[in-house]
Amino acid sequence: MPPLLRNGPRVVLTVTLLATVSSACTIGSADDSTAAAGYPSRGLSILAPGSVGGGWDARARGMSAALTGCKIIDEDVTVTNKPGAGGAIGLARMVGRSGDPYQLMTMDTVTMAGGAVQNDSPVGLSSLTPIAGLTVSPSVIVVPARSPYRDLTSVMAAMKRNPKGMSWVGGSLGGPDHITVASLAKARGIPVKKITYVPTGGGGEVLNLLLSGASKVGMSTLTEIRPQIEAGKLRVLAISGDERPEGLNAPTLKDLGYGGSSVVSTGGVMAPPGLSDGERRAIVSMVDRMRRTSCWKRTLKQNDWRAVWLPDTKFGTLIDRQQKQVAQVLNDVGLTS
Amino acid sequence: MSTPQAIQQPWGPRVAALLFLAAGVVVLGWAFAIPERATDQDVGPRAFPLLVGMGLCVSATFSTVQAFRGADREQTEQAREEARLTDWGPVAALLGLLVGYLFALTPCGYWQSTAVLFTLVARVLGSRKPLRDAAVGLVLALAVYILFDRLLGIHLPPGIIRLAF
Amino acid sequence: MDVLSHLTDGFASAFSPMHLLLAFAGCTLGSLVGVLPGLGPATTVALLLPLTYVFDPVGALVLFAGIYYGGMYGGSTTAILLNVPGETASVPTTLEGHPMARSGRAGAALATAAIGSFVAGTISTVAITFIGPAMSRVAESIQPAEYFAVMVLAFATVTAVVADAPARGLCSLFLGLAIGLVGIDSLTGQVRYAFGVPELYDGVQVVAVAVGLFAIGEGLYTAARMRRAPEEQMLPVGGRIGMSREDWGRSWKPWLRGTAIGLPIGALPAGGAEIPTFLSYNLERRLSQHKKQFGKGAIEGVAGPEAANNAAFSGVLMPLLTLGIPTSATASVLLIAFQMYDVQPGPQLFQTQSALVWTLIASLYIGNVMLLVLNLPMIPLWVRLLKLPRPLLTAGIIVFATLGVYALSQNAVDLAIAVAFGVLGFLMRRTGYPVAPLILGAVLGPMTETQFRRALAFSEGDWTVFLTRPVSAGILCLALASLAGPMAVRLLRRRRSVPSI
Repeated sequence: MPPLLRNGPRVVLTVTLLATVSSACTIGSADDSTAAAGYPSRGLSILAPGSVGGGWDARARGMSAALTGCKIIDEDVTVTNKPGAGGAIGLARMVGRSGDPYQLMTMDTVTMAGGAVQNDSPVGLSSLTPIAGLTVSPSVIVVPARSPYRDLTSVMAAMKRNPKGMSWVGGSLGGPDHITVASLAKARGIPVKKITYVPTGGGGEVLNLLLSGASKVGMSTLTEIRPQIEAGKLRVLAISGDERPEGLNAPTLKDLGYGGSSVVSTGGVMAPPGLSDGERRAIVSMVDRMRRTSCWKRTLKQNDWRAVWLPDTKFGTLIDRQQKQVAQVLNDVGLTS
Repeated sequence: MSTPQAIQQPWGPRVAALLFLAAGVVVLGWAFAIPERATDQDVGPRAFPLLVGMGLCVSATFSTVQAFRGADREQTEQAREEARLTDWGPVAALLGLLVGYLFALTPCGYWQSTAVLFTLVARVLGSRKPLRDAAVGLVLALAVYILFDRLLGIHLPPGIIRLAF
Repeated sequence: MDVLSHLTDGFASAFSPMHLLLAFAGCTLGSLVGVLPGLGPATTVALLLPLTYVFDPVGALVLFAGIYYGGMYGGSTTAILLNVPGETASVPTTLEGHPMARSGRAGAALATAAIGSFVAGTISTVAITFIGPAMSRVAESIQPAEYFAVMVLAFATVTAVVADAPARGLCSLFLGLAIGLVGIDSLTGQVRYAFGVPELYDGVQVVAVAVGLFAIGEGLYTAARMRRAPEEQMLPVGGRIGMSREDWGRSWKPWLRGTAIGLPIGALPAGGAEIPTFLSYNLERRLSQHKKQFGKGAIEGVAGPEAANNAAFSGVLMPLLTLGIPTSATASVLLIAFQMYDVQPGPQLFQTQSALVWTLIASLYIGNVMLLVLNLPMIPLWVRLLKLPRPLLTAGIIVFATLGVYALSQNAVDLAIAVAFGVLGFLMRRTGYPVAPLILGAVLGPMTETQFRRALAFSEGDWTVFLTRPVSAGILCLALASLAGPMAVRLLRRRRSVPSI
């Protein structure tokens, strides 16, 4: 007889003891009735679909700090991390929290869209309730200082002659950098399947591959490579987006006639599906008050994000448009089956 | 001489080698299922898995042959010694507890399941003081839960019964 | 010299009663949180980062350095005492440190780890001070072909270590590489070997694999032998707590070699701490006079990797400060800390923010000293943990191991993976398969494949790129020699010994 069964009575005693201790604690109450006026009546949870220290996490923690630190709400805000599959795991979790106005999630329009398309995820970003777009981080196209290429036109011309030889390096596959490069190629009539685009984890790797001479041209968010640009080690050929960031002397893609190719990912907040109009408006209004605080402005500055404000349906429209664009490009590149 | 030796041979090395071989076959088989997509890349997503699968199959085949012939004396000796000293009951019990814990964690909550796990693991490993174990387990589990969930902000499943604070 | 006066200024601003107190507080907090399973130095620092907000930049950096060193040392403590590695870089410490603890020498293992970290930290700080910028220029020119070569070298040495049974070592290595294949292929987005489980899309968590193989495997092994081999109970800590004269004699060379490996590899823009710790472990195993003790608790196997781990962190600072490239999780967190104070590391940092940089270097040094001062007296306390009754201790290890895995990403899939690898580790241990190659394969496999394919993408498919770049070719030759060398020696010996039988 195994010892576990032989000593049955004592095991039962142990379990009873545990149960007694447990019952001393209160049974959690879940109040589901949410009057939009009194929102939030209990603690909020913000989900970051990436790991601690990443961009989504930074936005979630920045929001949490602004909401409580600058006294927008009295309830507490907790940040949970659900990393995995380019955000798809966090996304699936949000869909599962349908109708819960106390669960928010930070995300990016393009990175997220790319991840969801790529992983053939059954749930898309558009199934969530859009709350607001809050930040953008401009990206730049750069070459090493010793590169023979002086402008984007000559890069594209060389790429036209030998698509494979013009090696690009940038952020993750299906992310804004990749989509921009593929769109540029398409605009010049270069077969998109022939381009060499090496995806990396981001700024640091892009820098190394450019400075070591492995890759010819790179793309990265400005924040991550600004010091190298200022030190004269990298030359900026173009800026994605429509606006020139401060202190940077280079044309935007729009100036160069590639306006349609530029894809700028917008970082924002989403809520689960199935919210009432009142609940949605209450959350949007809370985020609106949050973005005006000094706490949030400090977060923007720390991360070198540019503030935007795309509330509610404006954000939803942007997501839909960019998702279609991403899906189209990925299809051209041959990444979707 | 080789026949009695073969009979006495412990089964451990053979099972292990066959498991490695099976893993190799799985890796290799699934490698062919990875679609090489239409991008013009010189080395696609299938190349490395093929290489690893073949490497695993070849080395596992060597190991299997050695295990069945008992050619690796050091290994055979070790496995025989292990077989003599192994008692499978507690191993199965411990494994059962861990699997049960896996399924209990989310519905029953972290500290509740952990307190029970601690008590029962100590029991399986020969402890004869269940009350002490339960007390230690409960204190440990609660301390960990409060530290992680409340102080560090790393969330553990609360379960049905929640703490009052 | 200019550098010296800068460093003196740095020390001057870092040395104040307030800052020493902060360093002390940081080390204590870091050690306490770092000891918790699943919380390696990077996570420890990220979690405690908000604490630094309230101080001025110098105070925050001092506190930060303390937390970092404390967190790193806390990770080694769990690796040695509980067989639970907090992160992949401390796996080699587990390999020898825990067997040492089991045979009653936990004190010596903890001491050699602490002193080794201190020695490595000291040498590395000096090295960053004087040759940092020069090393960064070299590191800048490293391309994917060279990274690939370094990883092949790591695989060759770890497999050659078990040269007595190459087939078993290779089985373990290839299984590890196969585990590394699981997840989304970073270059094409193709999902491989995930079997439809979305939690596997980002790959198998290596820490879950390591914790399963070591801690849970250990628990199963204890359960299997508890009745028929009761004499194998963990030995109580006997004799002296610290290191004996012999321990010192066997430790100092590994400390220096570990530093020599850790610093340059850590300084590579894709270096990190895993490769140097494993390389150091392999090297010590190769050079040791006590080869038979390896796997059963050889102090060299703790001293070398711990020094390498610490030196690698200092190495990581070079690309971070001079190039603005964060090469490890901890460095990324450090980058965030810099940005909080509007400081952007990069080529101009030494000019624009030189005071802050030298203060950071000085505070790292203070953190290093503080750690030694704090932890040597703590060792007897930690060791007392091992005096708990065996069933309670093992139950505690199981609880902490599962917690560590669960805390990683808060899902039960990782826990299931850890349990499965616990069973595998148990079987491998009974049948003489080494686990070190498996871990190394799982850790470095994805990086190896990425660098290999990147090298080919940049060379437009030209396979000779690995041989036409001289550094890459040199490292590959070294790898071949380290693999073929021992086998050739063995073959020769066998030939000679055959006629004599």
